[in-house]
This record gives sequence, C-alpha cells and structure tokens, in this order.
Amino acid sequence: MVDDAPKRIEIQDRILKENEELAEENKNLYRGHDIKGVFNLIGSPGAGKTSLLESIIPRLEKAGIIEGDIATARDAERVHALSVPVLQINTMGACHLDANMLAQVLPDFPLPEVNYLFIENVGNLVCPTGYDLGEDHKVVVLSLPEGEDKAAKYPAIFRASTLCVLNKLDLEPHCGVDVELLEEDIRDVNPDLDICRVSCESGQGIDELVEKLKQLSRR
Amino acid sequence: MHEVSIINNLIQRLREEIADRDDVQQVEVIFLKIGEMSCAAPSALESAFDVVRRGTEFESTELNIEPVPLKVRCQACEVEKVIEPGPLNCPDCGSRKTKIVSGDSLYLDSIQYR
Repeated sequence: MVDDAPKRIEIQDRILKENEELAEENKNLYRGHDIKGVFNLIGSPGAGKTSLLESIIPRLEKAGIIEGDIATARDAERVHALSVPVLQINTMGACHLDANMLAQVLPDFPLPEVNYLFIENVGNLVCPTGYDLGEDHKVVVLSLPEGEDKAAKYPAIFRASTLCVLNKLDLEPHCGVDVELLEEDIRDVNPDLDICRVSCESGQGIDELVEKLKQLSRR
Repeated sequence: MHEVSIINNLIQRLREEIADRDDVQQVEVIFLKIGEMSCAAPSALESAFDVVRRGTEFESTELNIEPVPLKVRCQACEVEKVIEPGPLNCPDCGSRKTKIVSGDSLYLDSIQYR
C-alpha cells in the first residue's frame, strides 16, 4: 500500500527573500561604482518628492535620479531640466519599485558619473516599505498638510527610514498642524530618525537637508 | 495593495522549493506567518492568492495565514510586550528605546503536501 499521509516541508524563510538577494546585488553594483550615497525616497503622492529633488540636486556634486511611477514619464521630464542623469521606471500598475525593476535598468544608467543616487519611489507610504532596492538609506518624505498622525498610522516606513523630511513647512499656519506634536509622534515610532524641516517653496531648511544627506553618505 | 506581488513572489519561491523534489504530487496547504506590522493584510493576501492561483498547480491549495502580533522588547525595563502597531514606546514605562522582536515580517513557514 502506498503511504498517502500528508507530509510537511519546513521552509521557515522570508517570502521576499529573492528581492532581498537582488537588492544585495544592486548594493554591490552601487558600491562597485563608488557611489557615496543611495537614497530611496518614499512618501505619499503629492508629498513633494520631485520638488525636493529639484531643490537639492543643484546643490550636490554629481547626482543622479531614478524615477519610479505607475504611469507616464512626467517626473523624469520635470527633473530632466536639472541636467543630471535621469532614468524613468514605469511599474505598469505596481504600487512600489522592487529590486528586480532596478536590476533591469541599472546597466543602462551611467553609474560611474554619479556620487549620489536618488531613487524616487512610487507615491505610497505602505507598499514600498518592504522592498529593499539596495539603497543605503530610506528617506521618508511627509508634507504637513497630510496631518499630524501619519507616523502613528504608518509606523513601518517611519521605523525603517534613517531620515524624515517634513516638507511644505510654509503651509504650517494654514493646515492646523503642530510641527512639534508631529515630531513627537514620529519619535514615538523611531527615536533615532533624523528629521529635517523644509519648504521647497521658500527654500527654508534645504541647505541643512543637503548637509545631512552628505553626512549620511560615505566620504 | 502589493499583496498580489507578495503572492507572486511566494508562488515563485514555492516552485523553486519543490522543483527538485519528485515526492511532491500536490501542495495541499501553504502556511504563512504574517506580522501585524509587515504592511500586508491577511485578508488581502487571501484575495490575491484566490486570483493568482487560478490555472496554476496551486489551484486546489489552501492558504493558511497565522497573524503574528507585534512584540517589542523594552531596553529600559527589559520586558517583552505585545503592542498594537502605532507608537512603539514601551507600554509599561513609556521608554522609546524598544526593539521589535516579532511581527514585522512576511514569513513562509512550511507546506503540507502529498
């Protein structure tokens, strides 16, 4: 008689292991080209990620941008005016970039020409969190009009990031958000997170943010 | 909604796992452990699996998801506590110096097969 009892295979491993392995390969590629800092920008649609790039890129020597969007090349077209290497990834519906999407396009990107690489993720505070792209740092971008409670509601991304950019500081008087309370909330989720308050509109805090990005990079 | 991506990754992972095992006729149950702060919702994973498995060798496979509560260890009072995802302070002493012990990952635990 054939033994027909169900059997088990214990796997006990991360579901996204393949992404993590590809992310490690991407990281080796960045390091191999001596890139000083690779930053994965994560934030809601409209938080100001592209505006932030427009503000900081001209102040950094040799930066490059990879734009991730569900559709269109509009962000790439916008930052094209900065005259730095730009590459657009369309995720064709996916709500996040993954390490494989990066691995596919990195051979077409002039990595030897950049010191700093910024990857603008798809606008979303949830899904990009679990997908490592091989970056050195996740940077969470939050704009004041989104409200005080975002860190408590979306703790995973605030916990996983090394830097938080609080954008649209110029709107503070108009949106009824207390920045001190907002920062306290963020620190309850991640006390080690560096926080930079900026306004891309007025330029406030941009110099300090650029300094912070340099500090987070390798010399 | 990145649960479809997660399920696609899962299926790819399972295919690799069983590729060189000729004793696996049919995967009956997939056991996952899904952290409450893993950014994936069990119900959405189930819906995604329902769609993705159609027409594949996993058409009659059952998905069993065990939610894993978020647990932190306080470095001040050295106590481990289960908390709700949100502020991650120690619920006892309020310290912000906590380490996540479990509940933030997506885990493929095991499969049952014939």
